[in-house]
Amino acid sequence: MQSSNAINYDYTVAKYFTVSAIVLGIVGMSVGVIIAFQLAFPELNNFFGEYGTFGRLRPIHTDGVAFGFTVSGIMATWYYIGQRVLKVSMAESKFLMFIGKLQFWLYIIVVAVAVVSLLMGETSSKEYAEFEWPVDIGIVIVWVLWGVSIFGLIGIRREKVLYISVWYYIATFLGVAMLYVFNNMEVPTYFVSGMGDWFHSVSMYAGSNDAMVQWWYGHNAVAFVFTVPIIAMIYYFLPKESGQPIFSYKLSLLSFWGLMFVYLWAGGHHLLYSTVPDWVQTMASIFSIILILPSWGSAINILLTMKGEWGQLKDNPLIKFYVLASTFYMLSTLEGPIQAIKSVNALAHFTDWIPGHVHDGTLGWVGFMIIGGIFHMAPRMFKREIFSKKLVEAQFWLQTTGIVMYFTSMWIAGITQGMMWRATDQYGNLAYSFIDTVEVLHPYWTLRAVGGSFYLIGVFMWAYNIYKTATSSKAIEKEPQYASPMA
Amino acid sequence: MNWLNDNINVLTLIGAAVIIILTVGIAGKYIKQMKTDKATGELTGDNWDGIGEFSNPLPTGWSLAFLGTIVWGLWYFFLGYPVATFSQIGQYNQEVSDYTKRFESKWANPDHETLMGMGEGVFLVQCSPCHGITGDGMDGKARDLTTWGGENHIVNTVLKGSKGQGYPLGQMPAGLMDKASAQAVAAYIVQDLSKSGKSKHPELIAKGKKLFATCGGCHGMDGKGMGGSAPALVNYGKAQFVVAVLNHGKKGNIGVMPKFNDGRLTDIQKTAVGTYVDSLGEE
Ligand code: HEC
Ligand code: HEC
Repeated sequence: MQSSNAINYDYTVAKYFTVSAIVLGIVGMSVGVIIAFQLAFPELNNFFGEYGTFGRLRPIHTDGVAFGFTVSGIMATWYYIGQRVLKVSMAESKFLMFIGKLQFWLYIIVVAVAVVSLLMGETSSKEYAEFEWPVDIGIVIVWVLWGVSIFGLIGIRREKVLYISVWYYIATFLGVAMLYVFNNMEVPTYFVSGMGDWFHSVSMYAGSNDAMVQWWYGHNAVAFVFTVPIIAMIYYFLPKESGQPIFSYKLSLLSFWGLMFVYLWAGGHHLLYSTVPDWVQTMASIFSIILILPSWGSAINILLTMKGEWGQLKDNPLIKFYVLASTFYMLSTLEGPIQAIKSVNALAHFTDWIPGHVHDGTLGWVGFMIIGGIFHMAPRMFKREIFSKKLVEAQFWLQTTGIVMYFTSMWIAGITQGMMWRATDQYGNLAYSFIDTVEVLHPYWTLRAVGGSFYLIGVFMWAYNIYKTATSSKAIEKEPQYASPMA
Repeated sequence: MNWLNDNINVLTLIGAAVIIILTVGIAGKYIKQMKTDKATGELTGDNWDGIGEFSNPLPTGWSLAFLGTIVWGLWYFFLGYPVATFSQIGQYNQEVSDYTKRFESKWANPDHETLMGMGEGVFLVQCSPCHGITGDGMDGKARDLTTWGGENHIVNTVLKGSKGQGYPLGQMPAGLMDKASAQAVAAYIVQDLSKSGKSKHPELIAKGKKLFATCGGCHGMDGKGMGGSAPALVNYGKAQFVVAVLNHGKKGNIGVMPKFNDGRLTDIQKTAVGTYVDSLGEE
């Protein structure tokens, strides 16, 4: 076996995407905190005219963290992990290097156009698919370039067997490509009928069909942006940082194919008790329940990998990030299916419990893995120690507190809200009006915003720590095999 | 009210508890193994960037649970609840009609106190968002109900006209008669025609009865509204008059009041809220 250090990996593109992950993370989450405060204190909508209103900012938050922060994180880690587990350097192919850089700069342009167009209120009004067709085309090109990069690198690899992470990156590529293209099939109104502006479009599907395609997409965006690539990350960073071999090859294989097969059928659970056919709803609920196991399979595999390594968990804050991330992954992949049971959904749908669910997944799992992953990459990319271990520890605990505040407040708020909507008085009349629920929920909304602020402060600590690591921390001579060096 | 009488609430709370207990229990178990257990197994021999893999077997509990849910899913879809046997709309209609039936038989003969209590509950949830908790219309956002439905309101209506409920006769024109005559008609309507209250000017009733001919052209000489062509003034000041408003909705000079005839309120609830609204207005 050839020592991996013999190859000189080129992290240029990984570094670019690291920067965009940090910047877009800060933007997306700052907007998130603002809109959380707006929900609790509506007067905050009144700054900056139309541009500062919740309606304009909300898609900037959701798309910003999903397609800005998370996708940047996916790319950064791919351009790092890909080379290492395939044992081939980007520097070995001028072509792939060019594609990588092109992909990055196009991505930045598309993101800029997307943000501006959303701020202007130009949207196709489908959740997480708000972009108008010109932006969609840009996104597809960026994605295709990524595909070229993945398969190009695989094509010139030295390592015959593809590591688990690579399966998951490939699945991310294929899954998002398919979902994005089919959900964004749209008719540019100006070119077809002369109506509207040149960049306007309407969905190619109508009514319930549109809803079904939209939530097939929406739910699987969660699968292929928030789950699959993040599993790719944890399968690399945890064993690499800890030096522990993966617990079970079989379990990773079965979980992978289980996830691939089951996830795609569950999207209908966003449309329970709606106009989509009964069998679609029933099927979605059933598949959601089955989905618990392949999801938990990966998490269990990760936790079992750390058997006997309590010492590392105690001493290494990066291991803390990874272990807590898998625990939050377990929490949200059990929570989702339970919310998808029709009788539970009858209460939970449209309540604050749903954003609560989303955020224990995104903050606890996605955010922690990208943050923890980039912490692991930084000393190797910049050939310097992580600037401050104390700061990493502090960030970990602050963000964990933030997440706990976020999801407990939303659980309580959501379940309370759902119960109040259903509640009847002694005569059998509905007992509460909308404003009654607002009064009861207000403190929880405030608490959510504060929890979110904690998390955001943590992101700033992360940015500072990475910045210092890149610029002024102590240089290291030899790359460490496992645990990341930190001061 | 008892929160736990509702099985949806109970199932949700159980669900929430299951999420916490299973996650904390199982993740906790594995995290504890980090303290107590040791990593063992045979390495597969592959190595990626220093990462190895054990060829450990699948955890038994996990495999059984996975198989179990798959079998359960097949059973549910094809045998337990075959999809063709369930209709969501059917279930909805069934539940609503059962509930309404129970509601209507329980409150078949409500006394005044029940109507007032029930009516206040309905009002606070269904009407107060527009009319305000006290019914004052919140600075003109909706009709001020504390000045509605009494003798004065008739005078105002005659002087200013009325429109927007969509009666076949369209709108009632303003200025049908002068103020003094309107007062007389008002006295006649409240104390004699609908008998909803005592007039402040009983001496005008006889005159009002004669003048009512002007109104009878549209409202019917008997005040019954000519088969739904105009509001039935025999009900003026009573719950039924409010019920008619709820069934018609109103798009007048103040704003839009939606119809409440889509089944969200039963007849008893409408009568109840009508009774309550009457109690808000002046005599
Ligand atoms: C041209 C036909 C017509 C005549 C004449 C007429 N009304 Fe009306 N009246 C209506 C209609 C139609 C409405 C329903 C208006 C609406 O849509 O709100 C109405 C409504 C009313 C209301 C209910 C107002 C409310 O707030 O809901 C009162 C009280 C009333 N009329 C009294 C009278 C009296 C008293 C007279 C005689 C002086 C009279 N009307 C003459 C057609 C008429
Ligand atoms: C969406 C707001 C809204 C709701 C909810 C609402 N109303 Fe109204 N209501 C109005 C408005 C606005 C008017 C005045 C319409 C006009 O005259 O322009 C009105 C008028 C009325 C009137 C006077 C009608 C007349 O003929 O002058 C009555 C009585 C009334 N509402 C009762 C109720 C009751 C009882 C409920 C609850 C079951 C209710 N409203 C719910 C908005 C509302």
